[in-house]
Amino acid sequence: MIPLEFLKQEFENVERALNETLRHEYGPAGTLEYYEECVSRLAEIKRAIPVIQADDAKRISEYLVELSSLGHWKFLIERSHLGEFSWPFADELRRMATELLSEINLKGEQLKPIIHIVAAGEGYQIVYEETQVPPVSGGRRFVIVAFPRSLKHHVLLHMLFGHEVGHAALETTVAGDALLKDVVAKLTVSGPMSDETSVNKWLNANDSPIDVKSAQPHYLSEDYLNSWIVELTCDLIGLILFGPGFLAAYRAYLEPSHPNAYEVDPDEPTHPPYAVRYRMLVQAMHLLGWNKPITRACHRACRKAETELLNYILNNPYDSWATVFDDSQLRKAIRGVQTVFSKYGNLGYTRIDADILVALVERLAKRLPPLQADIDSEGRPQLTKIDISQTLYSGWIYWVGRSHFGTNGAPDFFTTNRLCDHALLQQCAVNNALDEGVT
Amino acid sequence: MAVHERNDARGAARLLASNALDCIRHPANALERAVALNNVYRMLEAYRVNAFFGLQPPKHQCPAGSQGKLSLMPPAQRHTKEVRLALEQSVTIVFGDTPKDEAIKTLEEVLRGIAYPEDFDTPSEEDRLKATHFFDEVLAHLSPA
Repeated sequence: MIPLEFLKQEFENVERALNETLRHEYGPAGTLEYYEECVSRLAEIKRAIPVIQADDAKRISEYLVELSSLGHWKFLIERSHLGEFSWPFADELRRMATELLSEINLKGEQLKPIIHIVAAGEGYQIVYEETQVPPVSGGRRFVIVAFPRSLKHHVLLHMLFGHEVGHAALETTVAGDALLKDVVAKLTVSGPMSDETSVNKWLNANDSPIDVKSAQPHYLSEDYLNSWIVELTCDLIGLILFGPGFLAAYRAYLEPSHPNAYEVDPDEPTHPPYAVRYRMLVQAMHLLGWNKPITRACHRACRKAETELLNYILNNPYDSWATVFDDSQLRKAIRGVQTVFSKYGNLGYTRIDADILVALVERLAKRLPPLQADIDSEGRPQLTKIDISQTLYSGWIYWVGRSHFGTNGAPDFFTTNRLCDHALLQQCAVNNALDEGVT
Repeated sequence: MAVHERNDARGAARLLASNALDCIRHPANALERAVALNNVYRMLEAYRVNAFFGLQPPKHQCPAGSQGKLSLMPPAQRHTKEVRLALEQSVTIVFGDTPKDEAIKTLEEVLRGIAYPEDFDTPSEEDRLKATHFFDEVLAHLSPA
């Protein structure tokens, strides 16, 4: 069988497999758009095959890669099963990602990505299809959002996706371009992250903490410095997207795996030291004014609980060496993120009304989903639009400050997450109803 | 070994460049190849605006806290640095001192004009020749010796 024949055979195999996929439904958002995109790509490849010469080995190989990649995307849709992840959280993530990751095509038209959710592996990942050198047959881009299987209901931790959304957004040519100019450029205008010389001078400074000094000399190449800048930018994006709850999730999830907060990986230093990242986020919390509680003194238990949460997330035991941006730089970078978010779906955390927040937290203390469910004197429900980040902030206030609500029958962390997950589902319906003018 | 494990950006870039070249030389082909030309545009735009284009992905760039790459995810594209170098060198050879932004926009206008002749101006002969030369150079730089 000559290579060209194999290519034609492989085309038929992928076409057949794609037709089989059509029989099943995967996920509440439907798979029609996913299927249509795959079919469209197949049609492009079909158009190209007849003009390939039998001795054009390179071209045959390149189209085999395209077909293989298409087969892979088809395989991923089969991996999506309802019940393996928090549907309401996934739905919200889909909405955010659609706004931020849209492109403009050659004709000037907006092209939205196709977001697909799976549950796999142990970490949080968003994979944005080849953003630098795309396949020749590609139409709308695929974006795969992977929830960790073991944490499928842990919505309080899912806010870590904010960081991954940042990575994907930086790869786009629209939102990404704005983020590079208005955020990354501000973070690199001066200081240790500004260039290779500066970061290495900082890493090898005499006044660095003992854990950094003991591993000197350090050398960070430009490629890895760029990687650090991207990671820090994504941390900032995650915080501004999801608010203080993001930092609570960040500390809860990442601190245990960084016993040495100043460690620079000697082999693959893809991420800055945890201490640097955490200090930046705490600094940003102060600049954003999120270091102050929303609740008031009259809210007693809730006020104490929120204070305890803020103490937890603002606790900053790390050396001042780990501060790499001055306030002015960080302030400008924050404004840059907020400007981008305002243009794309009005994203970003905003502080909730104190009384509503208290109501949410108090419901959790009673083992109820944290949502507003008041009924007025005439029996009508009092509906309030509450953002996902606000619901989850109430979840963190309850969890960290739970001792102030008594321990009798108190929900554990898993149950707290389940209650918040239920609330997200119901709140999604409430928000949609309010958007459609239902009163 | 799966074919897609050889996710080589150079191959994808060659395919894009050769499609662009064919459409510029034979505009009648461009009408049916809008999808391919859109992807050429994507590559050019990514090169134009993304400061990290061609940043060689570190081997184990796992998300914070994850234990490792998800095995079912498509493999990361490799050799994007070579693609960036090919594009850079081609811009320099064809456009000289013209700023990168301006050079890329000229190329994009040519693609636009041939993909959508009813909606956009026909590219000038001078720009068409530059675009042809550019994609010729890209192919030359990406082809093995």
